[in-house]
Amino acid sequence: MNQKFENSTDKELWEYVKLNNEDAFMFLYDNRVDDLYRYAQRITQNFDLIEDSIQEVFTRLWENRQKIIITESFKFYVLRTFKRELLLQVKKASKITLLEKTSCSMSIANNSEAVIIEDEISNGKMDLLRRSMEHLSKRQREALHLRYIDSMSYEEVAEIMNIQVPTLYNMIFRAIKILKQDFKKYSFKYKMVMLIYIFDIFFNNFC
Amino acid sequence: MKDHINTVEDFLEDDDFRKWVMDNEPRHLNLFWIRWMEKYPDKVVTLREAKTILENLREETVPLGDDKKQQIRVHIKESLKKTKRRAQQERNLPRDNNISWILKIAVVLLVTLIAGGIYKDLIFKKSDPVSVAHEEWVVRSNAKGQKSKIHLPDGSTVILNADSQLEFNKTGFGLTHRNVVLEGEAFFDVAHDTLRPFKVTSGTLLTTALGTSFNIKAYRSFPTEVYLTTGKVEIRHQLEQSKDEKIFLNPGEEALVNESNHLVKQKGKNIKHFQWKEGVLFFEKIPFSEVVKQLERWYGVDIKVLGQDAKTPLINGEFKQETLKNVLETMKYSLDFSFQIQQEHVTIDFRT
Repeated sequence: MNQKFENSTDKELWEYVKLNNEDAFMFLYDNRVDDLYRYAQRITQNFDLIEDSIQEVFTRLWENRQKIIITESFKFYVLRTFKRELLLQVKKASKITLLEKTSCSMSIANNSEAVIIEDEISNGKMDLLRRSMEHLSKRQREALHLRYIDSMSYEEVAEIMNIQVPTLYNMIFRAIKILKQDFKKYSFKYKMVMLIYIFDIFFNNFC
Repeated sequence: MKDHINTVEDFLEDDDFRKWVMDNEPRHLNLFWIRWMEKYPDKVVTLREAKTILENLREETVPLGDDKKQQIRVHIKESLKKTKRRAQQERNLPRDNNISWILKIAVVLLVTLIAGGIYKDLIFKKSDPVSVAHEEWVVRSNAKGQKSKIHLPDGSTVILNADSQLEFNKTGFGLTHRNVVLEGEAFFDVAHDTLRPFKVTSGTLLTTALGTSFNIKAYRSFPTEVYLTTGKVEIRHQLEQSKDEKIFLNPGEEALVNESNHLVKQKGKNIKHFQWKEGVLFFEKIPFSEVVKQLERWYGVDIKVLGQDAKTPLINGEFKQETLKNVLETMKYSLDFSFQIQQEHVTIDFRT
């Protein structure tokens, strides 16, 4: 059943949806929900709200399926609709106060620190670099996310973020510049950690 | 062979490069990029920087787990069904107000017979046929492990328990109607308004109040229970062919549908049962299997029970804002089991 959908374009899939094909609709959900979930975290960290909004958006898409026109990319359409819904929900959430959320202390035992360092170095990245993302503004990160994680075109990103395309170019350009500067700053520290790491291996092997 | 790539930006803009990093370096692309690095060893540092940016960017966000994905999927499928039912309703129920009552009842009966369990839609349409045209349904649902407080437009408040859902038509709420639909458990504190009765549909029960507070427990596969704290409520057990049963409750009393599908009134249970909203988890002479279900709902976990002894006694217990670990620690000694908590998955083992 799903193989039929896999080779279909978004436009064709939506034609199935218009014919009340729930499988086609759920195929679109399966394909897109991961992107929505990650992107949503650029807007809010309230995961319950994110899940509610996903549910709400897909329910509404289904209800309005006859009116919706998918020209090329369903992904773009759903991201844009979803963002609107999420912002609305975030606003509304201030009216609904969450009572105590049952907290359970269910943390997994921490891996030993050595394992983490090893893993990070073998991946060619470190905590220090990860932190450099924090030098970017929320909007900058949202732009990078949409452009590079979701692979949306500049035009689409600009529309979702409600800015002009040149502004977006500028925003991304500046963000990457900041990240590149951080790489330079940290490359010295990075080498130091590498050294300690190599020393550590040496030490462990011979003692 | 992508000779034009020189800067971090060039890498980031390259679709194949992003794909290679994002899909965790699939083999067919791996080969290409390994060869590329061999050809341009001086650009490897830049490549690593671009790769790090992408990875960090992605790792700032948490992926949607398969369980959650499935859970939301189920919710969506349910609401698809619901919209379908609603659409059928609109077709079946004539919007003409002048239609005679007999005909109306006949239509109601017909729909009831055809579509068995769609009581809740009927009540809305019956009491307020005008609003059929423009409806805006609000759905509030809590996952397992989550409780919330909902303020309704009429000033009433609802505390919604875990694994529960409240639904109402926002159009005209508090003006032309005060109807809500409940699945699961909730405590209602109803704002006083004698002109517009507050109606809760839960399963086959319809609870009508003017200004009171009461608790309704209506989880699927359990009999619905209504417990009254203050004021007075009318409860109607909606049966087919207008054999409705009706009773009034006084504070401290509760109503439920018994095994033979009749509405009965009894003295209310221990008040502690209704302190879930203050974070009190309370068990009174219930079998272990039921305790497991409640814990799953309360803490939002999956519990697997291994080798349970059929003779496990009925369980009493009271836990005020305790962690799951503490609750299980406490029961462990009296019931003699071992347990393991791994994030949302809990295993209880009686075999040791």
